[in-house]
Amino acid sequence: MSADVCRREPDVRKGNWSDDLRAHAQSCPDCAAAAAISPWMTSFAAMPDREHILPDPSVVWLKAQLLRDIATADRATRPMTSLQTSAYLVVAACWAAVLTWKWEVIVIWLHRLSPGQFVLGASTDAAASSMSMTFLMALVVLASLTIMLALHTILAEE
Amino acid sequence: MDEARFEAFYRAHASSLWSYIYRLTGDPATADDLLQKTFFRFLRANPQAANEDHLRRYLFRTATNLAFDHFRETKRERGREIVVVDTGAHDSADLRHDMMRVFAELKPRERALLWLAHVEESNHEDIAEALGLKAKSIKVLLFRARRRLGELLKKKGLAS
Repeated sequence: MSADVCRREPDVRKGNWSDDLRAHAQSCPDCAAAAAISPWMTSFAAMPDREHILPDPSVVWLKAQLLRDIATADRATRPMTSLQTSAYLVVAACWAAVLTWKWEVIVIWLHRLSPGQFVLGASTDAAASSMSMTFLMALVVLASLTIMLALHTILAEE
Repeated sequence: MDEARFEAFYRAHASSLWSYIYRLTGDPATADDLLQKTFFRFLRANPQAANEDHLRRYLFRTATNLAFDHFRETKRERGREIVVVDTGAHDSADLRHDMMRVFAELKPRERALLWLAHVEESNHEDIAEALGLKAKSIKVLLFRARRRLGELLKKKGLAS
């Protein structure tokens, strides 16, 4: 089969039959195949298939504009979102580092806060002495950062 | 493209595009959905070409891609598994349903090839562009699609 399209095929598809075209269709495989299905395809294409109305063009236009605006906003806020995610990761890493660094002290400190220890009035000097100023400052800074980040996320969403 | 030009373009081509998508998918609701998505993509791409034929080809190519994506998503790409939705009153609707069922037995690409060649009267280059194929392969693929539909019609007693 050659790559050239038979020039008589459009006439076969349209059903413009003549004796000459009939004779041609018998010897041309493309035209014979087209002739076998063309009447059915014509009926199939003529089927009334649109009982319901197509969407209004102005509605499609408006929706397209809306989608475009959303996509633009998404693109514009993408760096901010990335920055926010990075900030959350950094803060989480800092919390993990601080907790790992002073885990034993924190456990003792939390133990002191239990009701039993309050009743006994026990004091753990070792723990108190381990709670250095640097550690307390680190806790305060990290807590402040976490709150600020959370507030920023909430306000940005609003 | 401004709104007025879009409206004119939409009114000229939306109906034939809907028919094409409907014949590919067999479901009017899906055809509505894909029609809108096609025009959304068309507007997002903001084609500047003045030639209406070029824009029309772009539209059919986008619709074909979306329809094939739809088949992949719904895992119906295995050929004849489109669900033909009966949409209207009976008698003429029965005939329509029967025709849709015959057409649905073809593979999605065969349906697209036959519709574009016989109804849209697209040439092989345009069909190739719409389906993302080489123009040289269209002749053979179209021949096979015609032969397959011919066999189906004979089997169902709808053709001599």
